[in-house]
Amino acid sequence: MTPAGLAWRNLAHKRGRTAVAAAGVAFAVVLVFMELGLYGGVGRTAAMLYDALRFDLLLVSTEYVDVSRTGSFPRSRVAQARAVDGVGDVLPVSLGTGTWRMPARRTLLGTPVPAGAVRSMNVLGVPPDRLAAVFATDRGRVFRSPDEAVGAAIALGGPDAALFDERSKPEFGTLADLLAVPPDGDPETGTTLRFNGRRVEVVGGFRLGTGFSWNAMLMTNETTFSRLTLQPADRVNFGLVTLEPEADPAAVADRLRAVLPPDVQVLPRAEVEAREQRHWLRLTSIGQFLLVAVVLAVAVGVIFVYQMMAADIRAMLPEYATVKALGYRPPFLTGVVLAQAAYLAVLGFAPGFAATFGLYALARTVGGIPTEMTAARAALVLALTTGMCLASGLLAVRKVHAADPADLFA
Amino acid sequence: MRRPPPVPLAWRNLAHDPVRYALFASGIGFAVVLMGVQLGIMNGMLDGNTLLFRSIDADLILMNPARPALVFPDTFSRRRVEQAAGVPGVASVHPIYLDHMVSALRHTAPDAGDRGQTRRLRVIGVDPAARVFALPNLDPGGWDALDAPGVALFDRRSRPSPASPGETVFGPFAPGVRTELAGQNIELIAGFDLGFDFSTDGTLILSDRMFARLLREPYHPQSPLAAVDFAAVRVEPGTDILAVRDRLRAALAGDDVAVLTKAELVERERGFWWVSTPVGFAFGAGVVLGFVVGIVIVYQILSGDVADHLPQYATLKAMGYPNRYLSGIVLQEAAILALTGYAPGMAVTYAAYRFLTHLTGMPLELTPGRAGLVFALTAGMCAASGLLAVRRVKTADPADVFG
Repeated sequence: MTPAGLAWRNLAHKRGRTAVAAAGVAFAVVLVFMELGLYGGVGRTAAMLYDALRFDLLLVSTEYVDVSRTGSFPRSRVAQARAVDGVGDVLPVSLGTGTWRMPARRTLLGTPVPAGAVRSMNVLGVPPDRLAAVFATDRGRVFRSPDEAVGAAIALGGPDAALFDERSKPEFGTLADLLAVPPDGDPETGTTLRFNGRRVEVVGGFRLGTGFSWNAMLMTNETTFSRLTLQPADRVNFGLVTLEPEADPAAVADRLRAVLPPDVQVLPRAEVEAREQRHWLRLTSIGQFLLVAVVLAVAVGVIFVYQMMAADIRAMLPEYATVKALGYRPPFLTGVVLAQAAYLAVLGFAPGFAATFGLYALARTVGGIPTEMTAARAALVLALTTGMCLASGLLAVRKVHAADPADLFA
Repeated sequence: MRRPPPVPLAWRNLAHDPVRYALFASGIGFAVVLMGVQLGIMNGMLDGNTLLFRSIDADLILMNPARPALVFPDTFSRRRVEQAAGVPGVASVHPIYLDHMVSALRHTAPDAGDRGQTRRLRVIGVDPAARVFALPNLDPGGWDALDAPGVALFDRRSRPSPASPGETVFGPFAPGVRTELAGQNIELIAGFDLGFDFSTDGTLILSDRMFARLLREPYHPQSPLAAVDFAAVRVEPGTDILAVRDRLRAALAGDDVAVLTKAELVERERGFWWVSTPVGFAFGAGVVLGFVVGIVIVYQILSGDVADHLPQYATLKAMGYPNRYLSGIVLQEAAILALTGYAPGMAVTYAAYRFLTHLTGMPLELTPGRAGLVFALTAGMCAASGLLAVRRVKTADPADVFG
């Protein structure tokens, strides 16, 4: 019999013990995946918005700190930038924050919660006629198709009209519920839609998602935006610059910097993304602490996997001693132990990996954290698991070599 | 049925192989550290948002009940403050003014050429004579000096600048530094230690007169201090705080002002950030996973131990000891493991708190309640796996001994 075959029979024989060991490995795998996912989610907070916007260069205020503190600049910079050579178009976008009167709802356990409590919410102000150009509808972001964006633009024309992010945290209400609220409120449930205490009417939805910066998002036209947030109509938060075909982004950025006053900065897309990721992961407390959690989870995960493996191999020492007594050589025994370790790594990783998808979905919907599985992360955790299992197998193998067949008959 | 002899079997079982015992205890210790650190971070982040409220040196607080949290702008009328001062049992009422919106501070770089940036921060306006806040490590004479025009107290623990060590994100903060707040000259005169939070990178404290002149008069020239953000109520010494609270609630009937104890205010603020940020989920997930992983590891330890000692358990059974006695041994082992895993685990957790506080500037506090919660989780974890492992003892067959 080959070492791998013997190892498999070993595991198959003691099914209960194998299941416990595999479960232990699986939980360690889930732990590491979860912390890595949450940490990655912090870095994706700003990307939730920037991925969805269509721009080559971004105009932001010099006071810009991060996506939750953008600062504003005069709207006239948009027109000034449009005149620069190589610039295709510049579109203004505003991002504001305010309070949302929570609708009547049910908790996850089904207990009813009355309407009325106030929570913070964000709002995007956009030019409705250019929705398809503002958002990356070509990649199906925010609106599924340019046609859907055109429909939304028509709906956004009304004075109180707002679109609601369907991927907002569930307690802010579902789109269907909010669409059903009459303009003057629902006397039965007490639900009235108020942003910063001002009336809004939800006329449709879009799909953006939440992060560490906001829990829910509305979208309105610019007039409504300025009425809701009290940001003067001549100030905007972002200028989305798209370039003419074949224009050199670096050269256009330099020309823009030369033309525009120092109250705006011109950032290439790559720099915006790198800056935000660095800001959220390195400079915010949550990023720093989640990094600690990642390190801790990896350390604990690695130790747990080792303990699981060591205990499992230890429990089979008598069997190994018997094999030895039968005259098999040490390399054979090493092979058996390593094969057993590899099997356990796979048996633990597979269910852990599968369970992680469920937990990531839970983190996205209930937790509001944009977690996503990446191939690199899966490969990293698989390598860690296998490496750890094999390493603890090698450590345990010394015990096997020391096992004295005579012990069995003591 | 015989009375079991007073032999600490559970302890001897574990102590028999000290190396293995240490390995087991350390496994549980790691679960303790995982839960303890995650819990500490979660609470530390929420605590950070209540630092200012906890430093208020008063018994009761008045606020607009519609204000969701400190950072929102809902205010109430100053007339309510005067009304409250007349309620029996109230010694004094001090308005607190706050601004997060128009309070842009120009960078404090010594070279005026580097002062291009402005950045918003939290500005508080109070009567310097009232000493409304018990400010930790306030430079001596700070409150008295605040009476002069054009000066401010500053928080040394404002968010540190990532680029230049020793500076805040607003530039260097030290007594004598001059810069502009909302476009007007201001001089920093004395520092205190508070800390930044989710919504604010730093704090300045001004006298109420300066606050009105810099931040309110440009927008409300007629009545700059008519709208109050919070009011701190001190009760007369020896008076029951809750009784005064109820009297104030009765006297200030209406839905424009709420009366809270300091503890209620702190709890309310924590609650807001708990539901408004994914902090609870992000770090709660770590606690839950630590708990589950802990159950698995303890179960493996105990069930392995039972399997190894099955002949001995069977012998005991053959001698007439009931299943209950054998289960008791396993559960005692679980309890011993919980205790010996918890103690070193908590020591490491405490060290990790100190290290993280030093590293990030956000204080993590190990309160008895939190240490108790981790202990309860550890005990629950060991009890759950103990109960699972007990089932295997019950299957021990005396005949196996002679098999």
